Amino acid sequence: MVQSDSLMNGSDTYTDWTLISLSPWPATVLWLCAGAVVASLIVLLWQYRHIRQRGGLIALRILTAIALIALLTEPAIQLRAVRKITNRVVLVVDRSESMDLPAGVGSTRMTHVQQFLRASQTPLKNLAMSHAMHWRDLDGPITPAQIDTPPRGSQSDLLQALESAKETADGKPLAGLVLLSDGADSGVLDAHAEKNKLSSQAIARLKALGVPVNTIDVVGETAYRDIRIAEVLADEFAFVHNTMSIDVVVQATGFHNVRVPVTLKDEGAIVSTQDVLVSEGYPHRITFNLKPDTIGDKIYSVHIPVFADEAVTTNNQRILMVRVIRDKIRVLQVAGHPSWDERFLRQHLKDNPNVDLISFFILRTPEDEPGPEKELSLIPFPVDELFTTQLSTFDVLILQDFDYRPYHMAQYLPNIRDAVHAGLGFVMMGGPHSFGAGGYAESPIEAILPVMLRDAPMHNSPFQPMPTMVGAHHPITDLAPGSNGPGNAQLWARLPQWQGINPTAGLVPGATALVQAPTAGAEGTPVIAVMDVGSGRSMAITTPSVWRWRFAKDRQGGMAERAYQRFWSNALRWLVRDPEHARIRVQPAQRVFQHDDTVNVTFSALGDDYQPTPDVPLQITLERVGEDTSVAHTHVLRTGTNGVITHTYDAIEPGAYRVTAARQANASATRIQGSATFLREFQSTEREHGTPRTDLLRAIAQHTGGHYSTLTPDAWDTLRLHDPDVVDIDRRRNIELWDNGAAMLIVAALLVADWILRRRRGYA
Amino acid sequence: MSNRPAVTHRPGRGKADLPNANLTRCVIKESNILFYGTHTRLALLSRLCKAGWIATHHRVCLFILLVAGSAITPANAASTPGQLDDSTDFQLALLRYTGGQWDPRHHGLPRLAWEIRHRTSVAITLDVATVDATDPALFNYPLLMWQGVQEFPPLSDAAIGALRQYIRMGGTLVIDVSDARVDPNASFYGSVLRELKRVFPQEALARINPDHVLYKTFYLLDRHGGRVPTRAFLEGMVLENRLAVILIANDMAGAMARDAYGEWDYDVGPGGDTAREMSFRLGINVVMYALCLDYKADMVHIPFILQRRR
Repeated sequence: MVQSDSLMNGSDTYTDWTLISLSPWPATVLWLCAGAVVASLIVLLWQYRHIRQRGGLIALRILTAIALIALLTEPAIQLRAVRKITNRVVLVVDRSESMDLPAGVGSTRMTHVQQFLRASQTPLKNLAMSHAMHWRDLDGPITPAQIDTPPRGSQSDLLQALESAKETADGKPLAGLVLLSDGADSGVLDAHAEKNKLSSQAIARLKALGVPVNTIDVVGETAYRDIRIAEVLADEFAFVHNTMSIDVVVQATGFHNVRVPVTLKDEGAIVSTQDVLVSEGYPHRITFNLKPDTIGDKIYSVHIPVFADEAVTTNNQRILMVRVIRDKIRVLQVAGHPSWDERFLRQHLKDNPNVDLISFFILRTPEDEPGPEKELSLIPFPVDELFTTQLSTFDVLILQDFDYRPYHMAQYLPNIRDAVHAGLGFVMMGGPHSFGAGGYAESPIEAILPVMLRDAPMHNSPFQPMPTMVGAHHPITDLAPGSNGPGNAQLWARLPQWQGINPTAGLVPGATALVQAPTAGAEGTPVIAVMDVGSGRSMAITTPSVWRWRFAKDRQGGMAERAYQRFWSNALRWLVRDPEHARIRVQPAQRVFQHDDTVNVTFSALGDDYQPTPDVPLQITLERVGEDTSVAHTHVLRTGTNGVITHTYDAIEPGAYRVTAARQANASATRIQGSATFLREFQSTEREHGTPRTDLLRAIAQHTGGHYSTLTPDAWDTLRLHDPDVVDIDRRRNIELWDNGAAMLIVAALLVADWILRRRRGYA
Repeated sequence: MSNRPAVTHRPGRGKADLPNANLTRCVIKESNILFYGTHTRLALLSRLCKAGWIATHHRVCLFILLVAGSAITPANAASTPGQLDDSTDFQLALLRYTGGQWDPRHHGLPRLAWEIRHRTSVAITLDVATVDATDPALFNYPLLMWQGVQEFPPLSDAAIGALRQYIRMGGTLVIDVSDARVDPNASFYGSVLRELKRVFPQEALARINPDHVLYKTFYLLDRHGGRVPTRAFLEGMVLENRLAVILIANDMAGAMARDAYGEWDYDVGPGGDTAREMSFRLGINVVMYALCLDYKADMVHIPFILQRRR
């Protein structure tokens, strides 16, 4: 194709022309014909190879062939009125929050940008004349006037912003992109920040842009000082009494060889401090190992001190929430003597993968005479170790027909009582040496038992245990989930009998009877009773014959065995306050709320009978967890008709919160409560990630063919932009070259000349 | 054949209960005779025991004991199969079957029960219950002894099914070969093997490893005792990590059997009194295993046991 700047034709002005074919034949046909002409020409010329003075003939034949081809293709000149399209330039201005960080005395990064753009009116005007200018920030299109408003972007995904900017061109030619930024990226470009290089994925995406990205570094190599906790890594869940680790990454900018103490706190209390020597450019990782000793949501925070001239101080601490759960329920089973009740309970607990069992059975009393000690496998009963140092490591203590008096345990009973108040689950099981017969009356143990003791021997009669009204729905004794009470009672009626009851003087205030033995009076004798004791729970089973469910003739497909398994599984979960068995449940909609999320918390209340309780007042307390534990918000909510109420907390500050709901139990003065924790994130992490990244801006320019510069007057002169290479044709006109008499005459003249020449030289 | 009641009923009688119990147990250590009876009938004897009168007139006392013992036997004989008795104590039970001598060592298990009471903390009823395999009362006794001295015809299908369920539910079956003959083609032993094959066709008896917890549940054992040292090992069948069937080929109960006069029912040899003591210890370990399972395999016990074994 040949082009020229302008052509005049009549009254129209054309700025370009080109040669085209007007033949109606398809291109394939034209190519075949042309090929035939050329082949014929070659054959003819081959015949001329022995002829002297053949130059004229050959020239005539070639010209004739050309004329024939032209005849076939019908060439024409197309005149065009062509207009060049202006290329586009997209100016991307980083307006994320990191641009609001200080950059010199009394100014921020953004003010530097504003000053630079104001000083660049002329180059910008020139750029706008030669290109179509588009203004964007990292989130989308903006107007130039918006540059003067405070930066509010919550993230700095530079690559995403560049890709969006490219799409702005709507497929029209793009000369290039200009990015004004501090380089503080929080997207994929920062993925390999620790190595100070881009990932291959990021490089591929940059190259895929296909246009030069010119980066103008807002901060440049000017001094920026910050030490920040770049990252805190911990599992979302941890197991109580097991070692968990928290990794902390500390990064410094503008500091060299500074010793930084890093402190880990558990709700404000210092857990550990480690020193780390930090220098610019190298992330430093340290690991805290700790063993959480309680279950529930733990709020940990990591702190480093604020150093002089630090640009950002809010990134010197980080909060994290870890849910501490049980790996296993740790059960201590102490039996006064071997028995079937002990044996089948041990078998059940040992077979339960969720239970870590420690058993101690008294195999010999002081009165027994088994023979020489060295011939026995018996070991001393480690009373002191069990009931002092190790007691807190258990979740549940089961005293099974155990008389403490022969083992001089009186001094340890207060420890058991205190441990239950602190959260230990406690079970006393019946037998000839248990309850009143075990000497527990007026002992510290009596204070944690749900039944009043009576010093009387066991009644050995068999009986059919039946759940009470509360027991029909209670999570321990609801052995037919989903049957809604009556079905559970029917199940209990079909289960094997139990035998033997330790007489008691009834329930203590605040206790609840779940199972009773029928008696002549209106009220049955309590066989299973439970009670909340401080943070712990207590259960009394006044019979030594629960095993008869476990070892029962299988008449109904193992119904009794399943009931036994379910009963003990339920009991253990209730004793360790499994959240599923809580009477007040607090459930935040999320564990972590972003700054723009609505904080919804749902409260549900169950009564003493574990049925939903409508219209019950709940005392709600919302407190901020950490160093400042002052009560943030207290109010009262009433549950709805289904025993549930959802509350929305508005405008709460970022941080960790614990929300607690409490009410008085119906049957006692006991206060029951449930709680949960959640995190409210800071508005954005932009400020925490505000370290300027000159290396990133250089890399962006390098991998896209752009140019890196700083806020200097010549920044606009060094831009690398694509030339416009696409035109638009407004109108056109064809001038046919072959469809006229002159062309025909030329062909005829060529043929005549060829004939004459051949005749004169004597050829046929 | 024994005239022992089908199911015996006794209230709980821990050692601490003795002074106030309805039944009084009086142990005459000088002649090592066990005797028990109602308080009202034996009040005089109790006073005699306490006064030491019997030390000088024990032959007269023995006569009185025989009379009193025969008098109280019927009172213990009340039974209602399938119902719970009036005691929560542990009780040994003996399998009753037809076509064979199911109680050949009548004095053996009561003596074992007495030794268990005397040496351990197990609250045990001294009487031994007897029960048919098809009796619902079988499930009152998670430990079942099976004795015999001769071949017996195959058990009924119902009995086989009941034994299968009994063991699978957690029951422990202890087979004591009273004639100490281990001929698999004849004898009680052979019949037992045949019936066990019917109970658990896929399982077989195997030698119990000397390191098994059975040998350290109470006593640290390296011998098995028994009336006749037919075998130096025990056989057993493990189901769900539990020794569910134990076979003792040496007539353990025969070595333990002692009559009301304090005379041993059978000579034991070789080993004599040592073999008898080993028999008691094995019996106690078996009962402890049934009651505590692998308790002595818990980590907390291992250092002590290893030290004593050294």
